[in-house]
Amino acid sequence: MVETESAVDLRLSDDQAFFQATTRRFLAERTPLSRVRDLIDDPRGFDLDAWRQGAELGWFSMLVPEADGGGSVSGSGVVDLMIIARELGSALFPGPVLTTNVVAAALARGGSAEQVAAWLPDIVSGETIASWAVAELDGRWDVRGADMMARPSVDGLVLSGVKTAVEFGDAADLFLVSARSDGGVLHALVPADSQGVSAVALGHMDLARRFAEVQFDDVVVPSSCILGTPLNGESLLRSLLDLAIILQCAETLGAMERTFAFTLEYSKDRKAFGRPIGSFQAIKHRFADMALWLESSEAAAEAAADAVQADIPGTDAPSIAKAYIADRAVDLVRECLQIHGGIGFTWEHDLHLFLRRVESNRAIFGDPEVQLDRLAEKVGL
Amino acid sequence: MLERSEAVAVGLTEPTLSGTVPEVALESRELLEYRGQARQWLAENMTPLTRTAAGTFEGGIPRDPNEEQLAHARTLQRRLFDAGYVGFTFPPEFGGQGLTLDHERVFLEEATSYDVPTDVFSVSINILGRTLADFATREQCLRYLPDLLSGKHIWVQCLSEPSGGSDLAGLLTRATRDGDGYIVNGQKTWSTGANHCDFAICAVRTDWEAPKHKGISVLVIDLHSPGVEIRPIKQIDEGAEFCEEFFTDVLVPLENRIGGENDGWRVTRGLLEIEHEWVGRSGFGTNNVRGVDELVAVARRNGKHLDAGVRRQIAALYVASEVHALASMRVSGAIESGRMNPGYGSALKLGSAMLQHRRAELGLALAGASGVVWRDGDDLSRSWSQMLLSSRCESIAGGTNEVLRNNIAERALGLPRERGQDRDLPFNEILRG
Repeated sequence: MVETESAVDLRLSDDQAFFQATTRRFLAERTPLSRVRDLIDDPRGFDLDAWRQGAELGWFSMLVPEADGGGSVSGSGVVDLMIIARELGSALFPGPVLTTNVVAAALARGGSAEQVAAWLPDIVSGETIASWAVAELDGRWDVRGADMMARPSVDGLVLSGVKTAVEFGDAADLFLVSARSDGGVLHALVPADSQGVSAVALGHMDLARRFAEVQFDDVVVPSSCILGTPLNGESLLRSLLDLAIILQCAETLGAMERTFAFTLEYSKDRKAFGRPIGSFQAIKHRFADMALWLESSEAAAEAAADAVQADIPGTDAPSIAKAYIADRAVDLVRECLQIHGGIGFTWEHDLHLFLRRVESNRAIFGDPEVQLDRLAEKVGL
Repeated sequence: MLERSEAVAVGLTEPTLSGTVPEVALESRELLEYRGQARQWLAENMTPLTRTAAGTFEGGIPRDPNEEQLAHARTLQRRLFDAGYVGFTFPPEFGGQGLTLDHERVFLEEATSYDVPTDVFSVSINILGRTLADFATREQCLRYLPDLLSGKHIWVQCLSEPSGGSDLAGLLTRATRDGDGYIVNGQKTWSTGANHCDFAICAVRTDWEAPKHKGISVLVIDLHSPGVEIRPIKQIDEGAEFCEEFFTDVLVPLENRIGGENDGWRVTRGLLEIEHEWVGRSGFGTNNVRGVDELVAVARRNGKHLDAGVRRQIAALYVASEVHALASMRVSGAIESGRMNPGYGSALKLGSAMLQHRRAELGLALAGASGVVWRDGDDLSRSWSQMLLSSRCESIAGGTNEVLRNNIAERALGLPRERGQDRDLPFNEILRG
């Protein structure tokens, strides 16, 4: 596969550009696509050594204050983490890096001093693999209509119910569980080895990413593991969803860019009827549309990152980004498959790995339809 | 980066129509102050427009003004010019402000609800003025630009001809050297608002033996010269902004040539790049006039606002509009600073044209029967068919979507050119007709 530089990131500082290059080089050496393919049949599904080395590069520290062992490249941790997420998407890195960061953010924002001390250092160092148990089968990701209830008990609460699409739920050490309670949305930290917790691997379209269904059978959660209160649970959920969405958008963007780049090269090299296929208008015009989608996706992701970084209350920038990027990503990768023709339909070609990623990302954390329903209210409908 | 609290402190987080608070809240302190000054100046010096029930503004100067409206527009433009709110990115020695595109955007956002003559002078300034600034000599810029920016003179481009639109380099208008000037003969068409204009930048053929791209020169033609006849063309939307020009033995001084003789294709291409980028960035309107509120209003009026599919269609248009505005800022800024291939300007125009089609098509669909039959005086109902008809122009004028896609693919992405069979032939041997 021919590699080209992904589109120039127009806003990076020298430090950020260096960081991006380091991350890219690390991923190219450590988990090239051949390694990603090997991991498809691996029991864990991702490379634990690469994970720990990634931690040393700062993969889990960007949203954590320096006082708690974290730290970012530029002082804008969300923007820095977007750089990582984009490279992870470009490399199709398998492993719950983004969800582990969501749990880290939940702790950094909503955790007590004791909770931060108990959990964050091991997350930042890569020792603890964390995942987020939020989705239920209704597909709306906002817990409001969820079945799982957190019932009060003597010392804390009891969780009962099933969460689905938990990223690497069978490999995680720690879950952030978001559930309904009588007082509002509650978030709890539940170690995977707690009594009553069981994870079952799910079938998955994205070969470079695993998901599990996690069952909670009357799991007793001590009050020391409850994050925040029902009063701020809803707003924490929204901010974590916004964070998950924009990190996913960056990852999707990385996958789009790489697919676009190798397909563009292919259309310049591949000859048919005595000329490069990229010289035909039927192909050219598709690339022109795709270039517009890519630039627009980039702009939407930048704006969403800025809005989340600045913590603007009620911002709709993440929903706008997800609604736009998720659909343009599947359009783009499907078009690229078509431009490749028969070879793009082979297992051997890497294209389907990218297609599987963007199709999967479209649905996870709320599809464009969920975002549009939210935005419809915002525009006065 | 700015904290939200600073924006609040400056009092600038009033939402406009479609939730622009996040953008404003993230503006730099300098831009926020500029916005504040502009807001104050506008309030003190310009007249607010009236707002309709649907949230749009009424009473501004139309795109196709009569003589009285044009004189009013010139007065207002002069006032803006004297206050420093014209030619934001132009060098100060030519009458500009030496500021950035962000300053221009901020001012236009603030000016949306005021009677400002943006439509009348925007092509003149943003396409022709910019082309002069980029390609004319300093002497020519000093001669032309101050009057162009102040609104004393209005400019237009004369490029297309009846014999060919997209094949622009096949132009047939002839300029023959005669002493210290050229004599121009030929016909141009699709020149927006030429009937109100004073000067044209005109592409002409000066060498018929050279290949088509190598025999073109660009001249500034005084449209008040003897031998110039301008006729408006009636359009499908009943407007008549597009014009055709007939040149009969029109005398043009040598000093009016922009660039070298037979070097006109370079200038023409540059003009088109400028045009695509500007139309792409501004064609779909500023934050306040992207039309989402009108779509919501027509959906409500026809009882479709609870339909899940309709809600998503409108929300999706809102998403596409917001993203187009963000992409415009990103791409235009990068082209302006030389970090992005100007071919990407064509992508902005393509995006803008497709959005304008989509908005008009959705609006007319939501209007249902009331969009195609209406009682006399029901302008809201009538507006959707009007918008549908007008929008068809967006994917043709200034470069068809097909030509734009070729530009993006070939210039920005480096895909191989499809060589025209006529490219290297002497022009006078090329088949025409």
